[in-house]
Amino acid sequence: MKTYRKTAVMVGILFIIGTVAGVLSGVVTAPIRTASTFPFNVAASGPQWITGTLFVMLMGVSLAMVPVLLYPVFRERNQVLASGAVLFRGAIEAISYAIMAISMLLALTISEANAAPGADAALLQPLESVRAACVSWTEIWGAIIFGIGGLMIYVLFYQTRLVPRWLSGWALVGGVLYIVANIAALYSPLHKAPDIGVGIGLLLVPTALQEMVFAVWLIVKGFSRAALASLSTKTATYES
Amino acid sequence: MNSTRKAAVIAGVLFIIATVAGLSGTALAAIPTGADYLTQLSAQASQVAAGALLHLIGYAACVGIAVALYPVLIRWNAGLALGSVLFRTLEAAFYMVGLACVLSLLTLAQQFTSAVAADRAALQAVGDALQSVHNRAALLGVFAFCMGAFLYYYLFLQTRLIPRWLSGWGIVAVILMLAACVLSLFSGNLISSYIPLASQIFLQEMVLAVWLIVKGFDPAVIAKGSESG
Repeated sequence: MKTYRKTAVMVGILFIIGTVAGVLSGVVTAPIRTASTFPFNVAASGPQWITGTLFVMLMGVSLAMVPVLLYPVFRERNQVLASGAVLFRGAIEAISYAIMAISMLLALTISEANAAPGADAALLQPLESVRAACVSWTEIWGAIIFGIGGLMIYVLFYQTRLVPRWLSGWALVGGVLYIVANIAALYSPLHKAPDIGVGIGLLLVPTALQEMVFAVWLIVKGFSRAALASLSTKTATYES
Repeated sequence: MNSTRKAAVIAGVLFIIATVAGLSGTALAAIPTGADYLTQLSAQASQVAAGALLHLIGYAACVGIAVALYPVLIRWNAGLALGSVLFRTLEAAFYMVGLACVLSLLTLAQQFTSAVAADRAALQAVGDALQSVHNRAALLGVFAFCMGAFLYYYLFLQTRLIPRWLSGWGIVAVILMLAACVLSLFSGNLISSYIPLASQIFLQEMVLAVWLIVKGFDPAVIAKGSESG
């Protein structure tokens, strides 16, 4: 029987890298984003802004690798959900991060254009409005995809008991709340993605906490050996 | 010819198609430089459209490489085999976003040439934005390429399906390409301006393509892999 110990550690580390990169992206870009002259101030802090973009890309790659590494474990139980998780958390979610990264770099272009001689801010402002709206909508649909893909992953964890059911059950409840918060955001007056812990964003907290507990659990404890043993005996049934 | 040998030949041919179609597509559909690029672009509409078609063929070949390798690599690591398909598919998706921008620029260029002078500044601003999205989407595509290619070179190196000098060369070339991507991201220059860093993967892929077509995967490794898997 394979213990997939290395897989469990890698998945835990990727969860942490993804989360830390996401937080760092926010921290690095915050002074620029929150200035009243945004986005025209971006060009003045170009490298700092691009570093923030690089963190978004790092987050995207790390989170996309999670279902990829889990695939060999889960396909023994349910190939449909295992590949669904790769599509939702790997492909579609990664595309949402790519759109965010491209939009961030477009802000840099708009800011550079504004700094050029003879620039007309009145022409650039509508472009910026469209860009900002594109980011908001993408944050929301990306989060809904994240939630749906997460439900696939944690249904698999719940069914296989590879981690204790209190942990996968917590993730399932948190995942539903996460999706609800973002659907609510679609209808909110400004169509802004919810801020974690603020208003409807309180519904994001269970998932945020669960992911970190989950990551530490995978690194420290790994997958349940008993569950892995029953998984490999079930393989034959699944194949037939 | 058994299915593994066939997969090697198909992957080798697709490597060549992806490179030839990509380079010729870029030659035809390059966005002109200079302030009057919209005027220049409107004069080359059919040439750009032909380049776009070549690009589409190239993108399909990019995905096809990972798809052709998948049934072979899955015997050693299903996750990483699927991961290489995932990232090379993302690569094609990002390239296509860039291509849509080029074709949109073509439409914009036609409006630009018939617009009165007063309206041109607004069209130019939209054009600059499209060009920015095009360059950055293409750059993200190369990032995704590096991830996808790294995964199959890593599996090649572990399994010895191809000689280690060839898979090791691939890994080094991917890392150099990744360095070119990061430089390009920070400088705003096109990735094609980092030829010394980007040329290694081009050379390695062409040697790999010929190797896969002529020699294929190591039969001893295939035989051992099938027994254990």
